[in-house]
Amino acid sequence: MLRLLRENLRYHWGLLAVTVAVGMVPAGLVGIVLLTSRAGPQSVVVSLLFSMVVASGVAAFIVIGRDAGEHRPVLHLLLGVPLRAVALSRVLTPVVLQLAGSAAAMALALGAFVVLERERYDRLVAILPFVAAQLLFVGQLVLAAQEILAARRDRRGHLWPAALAALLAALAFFAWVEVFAKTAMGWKTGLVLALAAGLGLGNVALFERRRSFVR
Amino acid sequence: MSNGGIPLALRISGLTKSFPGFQLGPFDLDLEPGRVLGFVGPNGAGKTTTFNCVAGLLRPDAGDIELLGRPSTPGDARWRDDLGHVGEVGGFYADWTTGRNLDLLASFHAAWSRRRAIDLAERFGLPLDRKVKDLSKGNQAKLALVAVLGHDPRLLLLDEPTAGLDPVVRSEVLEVLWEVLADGEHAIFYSTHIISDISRLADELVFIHDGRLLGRHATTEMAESWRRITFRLAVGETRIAGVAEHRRVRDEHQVVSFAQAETLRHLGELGADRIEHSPMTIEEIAVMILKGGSHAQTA
Repeated sequence: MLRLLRENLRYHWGLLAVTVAVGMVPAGLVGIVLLTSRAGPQSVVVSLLFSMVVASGVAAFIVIGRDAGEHRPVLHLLLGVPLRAVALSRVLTPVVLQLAGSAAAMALALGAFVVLERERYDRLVAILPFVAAQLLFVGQLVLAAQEILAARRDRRGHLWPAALAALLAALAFFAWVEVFAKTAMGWKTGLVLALAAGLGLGNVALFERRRSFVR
Repeated sequence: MSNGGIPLALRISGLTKSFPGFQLGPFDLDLEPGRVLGFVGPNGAGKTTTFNCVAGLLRPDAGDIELLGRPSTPGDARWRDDLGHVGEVGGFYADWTTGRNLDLLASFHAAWSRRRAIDLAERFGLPLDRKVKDLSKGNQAKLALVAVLGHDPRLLLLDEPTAGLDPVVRSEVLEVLWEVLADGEHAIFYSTHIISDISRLADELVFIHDGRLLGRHATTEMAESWRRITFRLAVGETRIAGVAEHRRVRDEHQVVSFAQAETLRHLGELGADRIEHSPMTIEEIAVMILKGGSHAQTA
């Protein structure tokens, strides 16, 4: 699994770099606009770090679509790799890429927190992981939608309605965490991450039960 | 197992796969090492579905598949070690060069030979420095072939491998496949619409139509037994033995016979004269069998 993941990351690494770089342009412009208005200089840092996290999420979505479009499972299965390894690499590739981008943004935010004015960045340090967790969840949601469609195409009678029900339940819980949960940002982040991890495991299980890997 | 205790290269038993409006099988099929089995049928007959089931890219509804004595089970991938599959899609990394994709394959196949892959790429005229997304359809077919031949698998599943290739490269591909077969340990299961290619390579042809196997015939026997026969006979409506197709203009008749000895004997008994017969190409015979449908089962 690790070899597949490593090759996937080598392939998609450039895409992450380009997406983050492209994301910096509008973020920088927004920062400058804020700078010229009443906002302080920290607005530039905040908008750039947010753009890094969001761009990492966007890169993860592109990776999911790119791998599906290039029929990657066909190549991986014919390499003689166990099915579970193929399923895991498929789920983990966008996750690792997104985490890499988000981790870089977090490191910069922590740097700003430590070096610059602490009170201006403490909220940012708390909210960036929450945004990253939300994007991780949405990435797994996209994969789950692909798996449910595949299950429906495969005419797996009871599986796809059950998977769809589970997905809708996860979405409802996600909405509750987002809107109604009266808890600290750290707890919210943990709940959304747990939800994303659960979806990821579900995606692995659904992929392993596929009846077709060629569509 | 085959007669000599050596495992069959491929053994399919009771294979069934259904889609809305289409059912493949059930059928049995086997292939011994050192042999080439051609798979012939019209579009939508079930050739690619069969290949995908054998390669583990589709799960059959029922039936067992063994490759070189190992059952194909989804959880354990060892049965794929000695399998090379060229199919409709390769799954290659489109933004990497062909050379980089081949390096990836080399890192996963213990038996990969870099020298062999480069030699094949040169023979096929495959550029190693071009991105896969920029390759023509023909070059993509060449890449798929180099990718499966590079680790020298003992069973090759080739689904339309020469589609999009020019005649010179097609000839080179067939030459390479002859070389692969030379040691008697490799087996090839090959589907194509270019029957002239497969007729040179295949020991036997399996005909499939609408998901059902119509028959399995040795190419040499087909070439010997099928004949186009013309003769003169004044008799009106009559049924001639061993005939797949019969055309008549007044007393002049033309038949296609799948059992020439039987047909000629019957014509002699009927008193036909000016009998002339000519051999048929494997392509002509294949078309007759596929047109004949159920008739071909008795051929």
